[in-house]
Amino acid sequence: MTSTAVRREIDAQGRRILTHPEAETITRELLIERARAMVPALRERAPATEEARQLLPETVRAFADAGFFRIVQPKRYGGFEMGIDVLEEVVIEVGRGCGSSAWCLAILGGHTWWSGLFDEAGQDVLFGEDGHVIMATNLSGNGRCKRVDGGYELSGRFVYLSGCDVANWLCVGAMLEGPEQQATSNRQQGEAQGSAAEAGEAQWFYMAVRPEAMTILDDWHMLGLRGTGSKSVTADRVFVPDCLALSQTAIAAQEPPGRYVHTNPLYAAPMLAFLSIETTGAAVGIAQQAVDILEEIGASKPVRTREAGLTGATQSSLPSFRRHLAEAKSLASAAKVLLVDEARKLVTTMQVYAPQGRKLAPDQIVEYGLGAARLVDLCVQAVDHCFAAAGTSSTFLGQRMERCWRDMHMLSTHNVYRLDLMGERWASAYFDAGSAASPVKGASGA
Amino acid sequence: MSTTLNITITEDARGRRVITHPEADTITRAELVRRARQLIPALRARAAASEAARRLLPETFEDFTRAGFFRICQPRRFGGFEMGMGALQEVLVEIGRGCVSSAWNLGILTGHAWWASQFSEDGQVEVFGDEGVALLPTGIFGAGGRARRVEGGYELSGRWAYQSGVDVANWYGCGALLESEDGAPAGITFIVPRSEGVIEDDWHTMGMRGTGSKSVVVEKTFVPERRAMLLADVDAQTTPGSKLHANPLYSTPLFAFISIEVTGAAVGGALGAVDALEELGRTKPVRSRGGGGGETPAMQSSLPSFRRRLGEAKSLADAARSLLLSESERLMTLSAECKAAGRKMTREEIAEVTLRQTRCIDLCVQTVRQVFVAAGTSATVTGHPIERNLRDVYTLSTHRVLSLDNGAEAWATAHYGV
Repeated sequence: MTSTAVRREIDAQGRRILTHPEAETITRELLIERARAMVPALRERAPATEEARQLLPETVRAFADAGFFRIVQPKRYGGFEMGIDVLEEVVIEVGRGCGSSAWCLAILGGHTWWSGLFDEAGQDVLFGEDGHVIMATNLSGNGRCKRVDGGYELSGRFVYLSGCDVANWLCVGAMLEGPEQQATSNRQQGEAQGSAAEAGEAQWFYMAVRPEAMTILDDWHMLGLRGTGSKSVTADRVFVPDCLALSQTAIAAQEPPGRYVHTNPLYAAPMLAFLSIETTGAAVGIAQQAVDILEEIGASKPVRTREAGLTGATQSSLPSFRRHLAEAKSLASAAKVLLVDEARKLVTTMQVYAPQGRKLAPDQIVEYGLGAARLVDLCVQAVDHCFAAAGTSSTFLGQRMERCWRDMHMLSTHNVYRLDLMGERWASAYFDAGSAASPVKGASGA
Repeated sequence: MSTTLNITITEDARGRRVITHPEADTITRAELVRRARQLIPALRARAAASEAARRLLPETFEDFTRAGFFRICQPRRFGGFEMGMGALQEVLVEIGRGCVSSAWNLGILTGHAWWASQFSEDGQVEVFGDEGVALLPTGIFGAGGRARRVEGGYELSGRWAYQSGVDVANWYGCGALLESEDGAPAGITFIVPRSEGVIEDDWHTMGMRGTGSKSVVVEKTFVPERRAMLLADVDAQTTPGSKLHANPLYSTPLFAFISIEVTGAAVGGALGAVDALEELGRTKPVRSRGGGGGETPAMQSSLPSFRRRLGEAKSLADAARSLLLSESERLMTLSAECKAAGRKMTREEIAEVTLRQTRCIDLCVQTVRQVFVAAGTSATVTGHPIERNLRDVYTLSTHRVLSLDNGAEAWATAHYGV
C-alpha cells in the first residue's frame, strides 16, 4: 500500500509535511497508463460492483495503489498536486471499464482537492498520518448545526453520498441554527464570513465527519450507477470541531482558507467550477466504453436477413450500423476534447487569477457547469446511438451495452448536468448578477 | 365471467361453421376504448408485479379476454369483431398508458389473431376452434426454424426467440426455411399447438420485462398442410385468408399490418410518461439551492424549464398518437381501395407505412427522454413509472422492424427500386 510509505517530517517553520514517495516522479502519462491497464479488471468486476451496490474493496485498493486518489491532493499532505485535467483523463480511462467505479473515483479523487480547502489545522486532521483521504460528500447544505463549545453539533439527513461505504471521511452541508446564528465562528473564516453575518444572511458550513459518527442508510436502488452506492446518511447531534467546519460564505467568496495554506492556484478555484468538471470524466468514459462495445459488436455480430438467416457478414457491413458508430464515436471524442479543454482552462485561468487575487465572475463560474451539462448531453447522444445500433440482444441484463445505457441516463439526471438548471443559472449569472461582459448589465449601469 | 361461454355456433347458407361472439353486433370502437381506459389504474398498480413476474399477469389476461380485446381484428366468422387497425391502436394506446409490457402483448396477440386469418380455411377452422381463441406469439421470419416436406405436410424443428405473450398462448407461430432439392430454401410459416413446443425461460432484459418474450423450441414436429403458409404468398399478397374473407382488412399486406401492430404500446408508454411528469409537476416541491437546501412552497410546475420539458414531451407524445391513428386509418382505406381496384399494394406504399411507424416510435423515445430529464434523480429509483417507461420504450425501440434505420432502409429500397 502506498499509504504506508508516506514520509512524515516537520519543516523549518514547524509545519507537518507528508511526502508521497512518487511525488517527484509521477507523471500524467504514467497515471493514464495505469488506468488503461486496469480496464480489463474493471470490466470483469462491473457486474459484481453493480450487485454489491458499492465500490468494491479491491477496486478501492487498486485506485489507492495507483495513486489515483492523490492526483489533485496537496503535495504537502502526501498528494501529487496535479491539474484537474489529469484527474479527468484518468477517470475517462477508468470509465471505459466501469462507469460506477469511474464516478466514485471522480468524486473521491476530486475531494482530496476539497479537503485542501480547509484551514491548516483542519487539513492536519483530515490528511492525518498518511494523507489517505477518501471523502464522500453531499455539499448542498440540507443539514442543520448548533454552535457548541469548540465547534458545532451537526444533525440531518443527506442523500446521494457516492462512495460512502468505502470513505474514511464524509462531508455534508449544514445551516447554522439558533440565536448564535449571528455570531461568527471567526477562528478561521475572516472577513468574508464576518460581512455575511453582519448582513444578517444565513450561515452554513461544510462539515467533515468520520463515517463512524454517522449512519448510512441502504437506500440506493436505482436505474443505473448502482455500483456507486450513493446512499443517504444521517447525523444526530454529531460534534464537529471548528477546524473541520468550512464556511460556505468563504467558499462562495472564493476565499477558502486553503488557498492561503497552499501556493498552487488550484486551491483558489471556485467550488462549482471544480465540481462541475470533477465527475464529468465518468460520463465521457461511459460514452467511450459504449463506442468500444459497439466496435466489438460490429466486428462480431452476424447480420441476419429475413429469409436467408445468417449471411456471413457482420454488422460492420451495414450502412446504418456504420452511421451510428461513426456518429457515436465523433460525439464521444468531441466530449472528451471539450472536457480536457475545460479542465485545462480552469487550471490556466487560476494560474493567472490567483496570484493577482482576482476572482471569477459568477457567469464565468457557471460556464463550467454549462459546459459540463452540454458535455454530458453529447455523451447521452453517443450512448443512445450505440444502443440503437446494438439491437435487442444488447438489452439483456448483464450485457455491457445495457449497463452503459442505464449508467449514462442515470448520470444525466444529476442536477449539475441538467441543461435546464445550468442554462437558467448561467443566464441568471450572466444577465442579472454582474457579468462584466453582460450587455444587460452594461445597459443598466449606463 | 368468461365471454367465451356465450359463443354461438351456427351454419351459414353454404354450410360453413360460423362462430359468433355475443357482442359481435353491438360492440363499438368507442366502447372498447372506454373499457381500456377504465383498466389504466389497475394496470398501473400491477406494473411492478408484471415486471417481477416477467409475463402478462393472469389477472390482466383475464381483463383483456373479458373486454374482448383479443378479438378486435379477428374475423367475425371465427368469433371476432373484425374492426380495423385504428380500433386496435386506440385501445393499445390506453392500455400502454397503464403498462407498456401488457400493451405490447395485447398488440402482438391481437395482431396475430389477424395473422392466423391469413391461413387456409381449414387451418383457421382448427386454429380458432370452437371459442374463437387464437393466441399465438409469432416468429414469422424464417431464420428460426428448418422444415422439410413429408407426406401430408411438413416436419419442423427450430428455436424462436422473443415470443411475446408465450405464457398465455394456445398456439405458436413459427417461421422456417423450407429445404428444397432445387435451389435456395423458401420461407414458410407454420402454426403449431402449444403442447408441441417447449418454452425456455430466457427473458431477462432491461426493459419490456412484463412481456415475457421467451424462446420456444420445437423438435421434429409434424405440421399439416392447412397450418402452413409460404412467404411467397405473403409477399405476393395472395394468402388464402385474403381470398377467404370479404373484409379488405384481411387483404392488408402482412408487412404493412405488423409495422403498425404494436406501435400503440410505445405511444401509450410515451403518454404514460407524460402523465407521470404532469403529476410530478403538481407534487414535487422545488428545493432551494444551498442555504439549508430545504423544500420551498413552490412546485416543479412553476419552473419555466419544467414547463418547457413537459410541453415538449406532451407535444411529442400527442404527435405520435395522431400519426399512429391517422396512419392506421390510412392503411385501412388503402387496403379497401386496393381490394376494390383489384390491385396489390406497392412495395413503396407498404414501406411508407413502416417508415412512418418507425418515426412514430422515435417520437416516443424522444418523449420518454424529455420526461426523464425533467423528472430528476428521484425518478430514477427502481420501479418509478418514469424510470420504467424510459427502459420500456428504449428497449421496445430496438425491435428490428421498429427502428428508424429499418424503416428508412426499407422505404429507400422500395422507392429507388434497389
